[in-house]
Amino acid sequence: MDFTQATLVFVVLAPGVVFGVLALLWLLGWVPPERVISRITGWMFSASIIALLPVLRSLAASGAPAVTVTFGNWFAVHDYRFPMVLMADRLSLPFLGMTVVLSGLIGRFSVTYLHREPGFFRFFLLLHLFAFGSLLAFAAGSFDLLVGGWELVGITSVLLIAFFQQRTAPVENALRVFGVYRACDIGLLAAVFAMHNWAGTASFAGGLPRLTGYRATTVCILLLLAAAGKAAQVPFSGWLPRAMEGPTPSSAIFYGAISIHAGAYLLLRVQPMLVQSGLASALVISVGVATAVYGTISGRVSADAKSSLAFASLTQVGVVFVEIGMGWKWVAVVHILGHATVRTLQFLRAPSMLHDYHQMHSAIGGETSEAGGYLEELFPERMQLWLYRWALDRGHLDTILDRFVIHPLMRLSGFFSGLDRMGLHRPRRERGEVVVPVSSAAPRGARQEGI
Amino acid sequence: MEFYDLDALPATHQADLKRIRESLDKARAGNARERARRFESYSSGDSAEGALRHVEERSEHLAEPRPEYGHCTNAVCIVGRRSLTKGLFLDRRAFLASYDAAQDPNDEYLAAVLGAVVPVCAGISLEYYFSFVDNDRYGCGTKLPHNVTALVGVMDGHASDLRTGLPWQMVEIHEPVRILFVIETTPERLTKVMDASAPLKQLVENRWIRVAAIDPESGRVHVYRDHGFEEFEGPVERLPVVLSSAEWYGGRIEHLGMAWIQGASVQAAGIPAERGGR
Repeated sequence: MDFTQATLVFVVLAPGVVFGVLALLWLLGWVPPERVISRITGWMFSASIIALLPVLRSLAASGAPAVTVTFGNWFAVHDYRFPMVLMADRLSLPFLGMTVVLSGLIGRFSVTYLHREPGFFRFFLLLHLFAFGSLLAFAAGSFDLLVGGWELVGITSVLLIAFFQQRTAPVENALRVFGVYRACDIGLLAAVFAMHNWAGTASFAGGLPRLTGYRATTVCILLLLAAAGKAAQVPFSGWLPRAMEGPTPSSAIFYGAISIHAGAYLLLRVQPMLVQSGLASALVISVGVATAVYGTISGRVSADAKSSLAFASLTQVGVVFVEIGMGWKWVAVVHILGHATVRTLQFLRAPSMLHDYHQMHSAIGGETSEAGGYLEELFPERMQLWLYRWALDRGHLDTILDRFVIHPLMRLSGFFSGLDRMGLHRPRRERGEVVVPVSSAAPRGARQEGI
Repeated sequence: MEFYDLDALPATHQADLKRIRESLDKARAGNARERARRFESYSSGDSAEGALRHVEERSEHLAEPRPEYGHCTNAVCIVGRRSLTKGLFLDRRAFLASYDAAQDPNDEYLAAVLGAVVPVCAGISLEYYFSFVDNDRYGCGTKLPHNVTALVGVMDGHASDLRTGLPWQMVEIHEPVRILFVIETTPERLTKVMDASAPLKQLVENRWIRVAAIDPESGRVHVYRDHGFEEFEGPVERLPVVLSSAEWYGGRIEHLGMAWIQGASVQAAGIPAERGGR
């Protein structure tokens, strides 16, 4: 392993090691004071930013396609192998850079923002785990490894939405986000299975698995499902405004910068396969267009700062999806970097919005003029009202999901649970045992103590 | 600190302006240091200028949920001649309103001063009181998930009722006590003014606030209890005497009792140490 490879390994592993050590200390009963956490976080992310420079230099100077580090296989069963390959190429490097720079910035910001907060330690624990997860996802050399990082990003995202766990709303909303994530992750897992099945590998270090025709289309569509869930594209968009329950800096880094663009990264990764499939490309473009239009209309009626920022993010990510579908790979990368930086700043400024407006109004000596009114006037008056109601209910997306997906699923699981009871309990009753009804099997106290 | 219309200042007064500027800068640096001592993130070793920079910086910092503690910890309002409190270290816990009973034979000004000072200070104090005792219901909880809505208020996270009251970060070091008004006049004159004003009387009778009168001549204190003034009796603590306020509060972050700053004039009439500060 040469120096450049070592630095890449350091960048990816550093937050994971910090998380591991802090978590271990916590399990042993020691919660480090704020000052210690802030020092560790600052040093670690500064070192990571510096450690990316040799990787950048190596790619720029040598013209090599990627810096690759191979650790062999984690395990192998028959024909299946789980390769541990880290890789930084010209696509992952911008994402790695964005992650370390913005995570470091958010870490510094949060030291002040969460000062004296009881969950201070928990927040930083999750921030490090998140940084590790996203670096792993962006530096993975195979889809198998990418899944690991992808899941870590998902779970930290959910845990940070539920950060204020003493109130019910954050926990409920976090659970919903968790549900959407898990449902859409099926796409990613199925795509990995499909690649292994058809191409024998899901590694993309040294080129994507060679698939053509309906196979390429199937894999791309499955990955689109995963990407759309993570990036809150239509029809999954309902969860994004609900995710605004956590502390502001975590909203900034997840839904302004990194997590929201992870889906786009996934599609960029399979872009060479995507361009072969007209159907999949068309689907990516349609999802992007639908999300961009939905985001801009819903964002216009959002009265609160964080929801309107969330919808603004959606609009931009929708446009990024369109760019990817059109095959404009590098336009999409530049768009993502620019969007992530600006949106993070906007999220961080959101709590001072009243102050900002006062300053702006006193500087221009009056109120700002209303923007965007000309767009409304393009529609007839009855249409305007209808559109307003539609946008106010966020396109009824949540209601549609509730009615046509969640409720039928619940009924189905109720049906199976009934079958279960019939099959399992009858013989015992015949034996004369006391049967505890399933609904009351869990003591009430257990529910209240939970979470 | 910004001065306006400086171009209109005649050359003869430039020296005065310079002197005023220096005094004001010194005062605000000293003030900043007293404010900064309550912040955990401030290292007490800093000079007065360092404290001023710290206080100014946090008022602008995007990530700072506690730009200042505002009226937090306030427990007393003293209405009287300023000589009454001169040299007294009050730990920034007192509202001070100027009033001289000798110049107000008919108690007109007293009524006017109390009519403004009492509702305002009582309102502020009660807002802190209730936001502290039940921060979830009367306050607006922690600031960290707040979401500015329609530019009129805040929600918790993605959807909630608009939150009222003060956030936990603003009241976390508050002591929930009902504010004590110490008014420099006689109990008789104060009773007359209170009887004439229904809002004032309601606040006092229903015990939203506490009232004491300090006699401008004798310095004796009467406290309002159960529909009337009673003379305050009890041990009068001796105040600690220090050379400067910085000596008293230096390096300490907790609530501090009152102290007598020796460097200042000691001609003022004292009030018992049990009042006001704790």
